Amino acid sequence: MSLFALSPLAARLTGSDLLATLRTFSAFTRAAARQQAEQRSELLAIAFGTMVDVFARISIWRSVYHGRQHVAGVTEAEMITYALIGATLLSHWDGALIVREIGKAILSGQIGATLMRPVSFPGALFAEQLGPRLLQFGFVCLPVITILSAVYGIAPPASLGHGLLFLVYIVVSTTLLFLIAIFFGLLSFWVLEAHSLEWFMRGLTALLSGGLVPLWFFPPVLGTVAHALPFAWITYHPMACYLGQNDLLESATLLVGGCGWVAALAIVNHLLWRSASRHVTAHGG
Amino acid sequence: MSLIIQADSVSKIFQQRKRLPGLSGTLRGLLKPETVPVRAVEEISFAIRAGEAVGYLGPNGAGKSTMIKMLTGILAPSTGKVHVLGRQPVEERVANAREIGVVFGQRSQLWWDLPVSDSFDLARHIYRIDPARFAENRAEMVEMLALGSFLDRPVRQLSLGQRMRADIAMALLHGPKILFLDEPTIGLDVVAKDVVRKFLARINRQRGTTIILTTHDLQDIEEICPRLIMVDDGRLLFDGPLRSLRRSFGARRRLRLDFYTDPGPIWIGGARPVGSSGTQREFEVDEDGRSLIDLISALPPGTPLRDASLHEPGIEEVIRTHYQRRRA
Repeated sequence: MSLFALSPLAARLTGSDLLATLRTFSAFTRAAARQQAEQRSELLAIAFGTMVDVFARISIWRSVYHGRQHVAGVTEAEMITYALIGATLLSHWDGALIVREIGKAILSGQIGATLMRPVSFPGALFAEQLGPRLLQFGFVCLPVITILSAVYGIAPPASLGHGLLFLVYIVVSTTLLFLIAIFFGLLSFWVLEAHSLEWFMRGLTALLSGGLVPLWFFPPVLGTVAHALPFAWITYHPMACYLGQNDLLESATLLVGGCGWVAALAIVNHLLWRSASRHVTAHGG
Repeated sequence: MSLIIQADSVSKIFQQRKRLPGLSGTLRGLLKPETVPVRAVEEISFAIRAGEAVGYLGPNGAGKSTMIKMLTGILAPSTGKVHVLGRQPVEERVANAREIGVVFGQRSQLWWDLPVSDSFDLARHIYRIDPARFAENRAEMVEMLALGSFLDRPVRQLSLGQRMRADIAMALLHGPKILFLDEPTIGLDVVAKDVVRKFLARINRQRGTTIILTTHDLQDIEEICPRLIMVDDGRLLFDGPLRSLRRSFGARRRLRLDFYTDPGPIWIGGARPVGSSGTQREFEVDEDGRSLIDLISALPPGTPLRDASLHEPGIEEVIRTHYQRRRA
């Protein structure tokens, strides 16, 4: 299940066209990964920052639990696992940086040069972001998980089924985070002040994805709303699946719901992009 | 040869936000923004045939880049129609992009931290170039633009001239029918400019690639483009062969006569005296096809002539005179 397969644009492509498009995007991903690999010191800094971030989260939760067995029906070990995996594999990627990239491209006029390439701009952007993201999975997230789980311990997935579903959840989480970022990024064609959009998105994501605080600690009304919004599939629903908060059927149903959000946002972004490119061609960006 | 680019009465009007002075003006602008129309391109028409090399010349803000953006599909004309290879570029941007190459002098398409060759590989995928054709084109570009010594260096380590050569090569890897260049020699030193100009002229002649380039530098046009389109203030001023520009702008040749002794006042039919100092006299000569010998023969017999010369005005001078006259 990918963004490309669901986009209405892709529906009009033939099989070989789709293959060629995917090949183009994977070339973007590889180039972006190589570009990231060139910046070794940045990668090291990200790894160190992530380590500190996850350590801080775990410390906060340990002091919250402080001798208690359960809080809101969740054990301390589960909460540490939530912080460890949630902050690395799921909400580690600062998707709001895409908003900044798009804003910069519009203000500097680089967007024109981008339009001159015979590829979809949102698609290429996703592919470009995916490169460093995959590299960071390997060189930042996995080492941090390995080191900190050796110190604090980590709970395994609730069952093999939950573990397998969780892998699909990671794909949905990454795709949704990207789609949300693109959505806010495209708005900057009209707002022309990407900074505010970037902060708005960062705030919303931190709160509503359950990246900082799991939704089960939310007040009931806000919790109910947050459960249904796409942000929840970035960290909360995948972790709830991993920890076995829901049975397999329910986890799978929620996963389908997440795919629904992917499809809906892909369509919204496609329409928004069409309208944005018309805006560029009419007003020059 | 067939027409591959057509612009029919093309205009582009931007709405520019009006900035009002003072705090009250700022608030009013925030609540109820006022816009003023800015006419970047006005009623311009031209047609370009396959294989031509055309220089698009004009001062800053003349609407050159706006026209290039309309031809490449980044901007839609406000009125009028643009056709490139039979398509309206804005409507079929992706299809258009596959058949054209674009180089912006001030914006690189290369990946900053990666070797040049990596950007080329990416271009192969973006333009879906057949591997064999890609290898052939790449080898040809590397040879013609002497890229071999820095193909494996990251782009950030290249000089401006090397980067521009790599950018031009990348724009040609997919064998585009038309190459658009926006200020391709801007900021380059004399040697780098020369390499770029010679290459573009060669690619136009040998491959038949149609070239449209905007520039400030007239030498670009003299060396690459037999045809010149000149714009100013959004309007078309001149469209034709470079050599007709002088006549079209009413530029006159200058006759300089040097005498052994002060000859006193001298009159030559069809020539206007424009300066005299001691034994020298200068005239502006009408464009009536007379040669230097014809002009000298018109001197009264017995005039103590020592030397004579007839100067063609340089293109730069013609254009400078025109712009200065317009501003005055």
